[in-house]
Amino acid sequence: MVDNSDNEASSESSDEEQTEVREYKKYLKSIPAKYLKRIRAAATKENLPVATVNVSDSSSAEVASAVTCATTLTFTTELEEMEYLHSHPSKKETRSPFVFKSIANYLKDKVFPTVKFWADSDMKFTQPDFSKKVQTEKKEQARRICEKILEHLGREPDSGSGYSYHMCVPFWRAYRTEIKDELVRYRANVGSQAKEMYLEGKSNDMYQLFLIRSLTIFG
Amino acid sequence: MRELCRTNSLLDIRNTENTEAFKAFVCVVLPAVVRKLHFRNNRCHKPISNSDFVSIPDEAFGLLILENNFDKWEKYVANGRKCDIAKKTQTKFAPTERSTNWASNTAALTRYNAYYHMIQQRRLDSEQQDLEKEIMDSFQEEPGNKIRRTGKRRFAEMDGTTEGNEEPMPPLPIAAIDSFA
Repeated sequence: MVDNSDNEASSESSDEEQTEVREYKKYLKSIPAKYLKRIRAAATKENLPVATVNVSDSSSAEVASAVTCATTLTFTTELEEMEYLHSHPSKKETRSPFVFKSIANYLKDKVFPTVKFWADSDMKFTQPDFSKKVQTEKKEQARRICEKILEHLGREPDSGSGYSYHMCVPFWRAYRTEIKDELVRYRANVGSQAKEMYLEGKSNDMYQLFLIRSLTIFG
Repeated sequence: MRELCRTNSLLDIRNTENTEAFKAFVCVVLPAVVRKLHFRNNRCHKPISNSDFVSIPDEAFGLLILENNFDKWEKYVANGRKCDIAKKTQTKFAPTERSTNWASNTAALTRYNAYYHMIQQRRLDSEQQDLEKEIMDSFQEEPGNKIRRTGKRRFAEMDGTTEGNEEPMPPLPIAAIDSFA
């Protein structure tokens, strides 16, 4: 907790305090403007200096009915908290090449046979709504795939109904681009392989069995 | 198959009169879509309509790729693989000449959906199921007609035959003492 109201005093204080202030300012910059505005509004309501606001970790932030205290960042709805998770730079899982390899295998074996094109819009793909409690078949494509991948990776569901947005959002933020690119890559591979086989004019010796004369391209 | 592509009537590929075209499609395009190894491992004991083998999206996507690239591939066939004309040919659903981003084209997606619905309906027909069984049977016959290329000499020795000489060789002597005991 850093008191920023007495700038003059802090400038005279020790070096440690100054570095603390600098770090705090840096942290304030990383908070999205929307949330910062809310924090400031709540702080002025309670006559608290803005600099004393302590933004707690989102995992510990409770979903309250209203902003009650300026000392913790609380969210009126799950959607707001999810948006915060989507936008905050630190709320992103660390990418691992080994995890991604596992994801790629799952995509190749299970996802690509059934999903050739993304049905979701760009916005829905980038920021799927993980907060709604809907039945599996009614969920959006990106959300369904995310949950399936998490299941495949052996991550344990953190809520009774499945994976909550606290788990899904950081994971999806870390791997969504790779997941999208991977499917694009598979599509391209299929195209190039089909071209090769078409230009060869035959395949798997079935050509001779069925006597497909029409396919004798170079004959 | 070429005629169907030329006349833009690939939606009729599963009709009874286009059996040969469908067989050609199965042999040429489907292995690329479902991966060659997967195709080879399953073709003898699973019909094409089995979703573990070839799913409906797989088949629809194969047809879409064929329709999209047919003109370009035909130019490659006519002028050779290093032909510049073929390289510059625009695919059917590509937005511009140089763009390869055809998958986000609405027309392509509409066509894909049309293929999907067609396949979904036609897979239930008994005629089509018979045709798929026929294809599966012909795949089963295939390995018997084929001479193994890898380890040919080794297999020939094991069978007691040598290449060019079909007379059986005398059997190998059996060990008199069972050393295992």
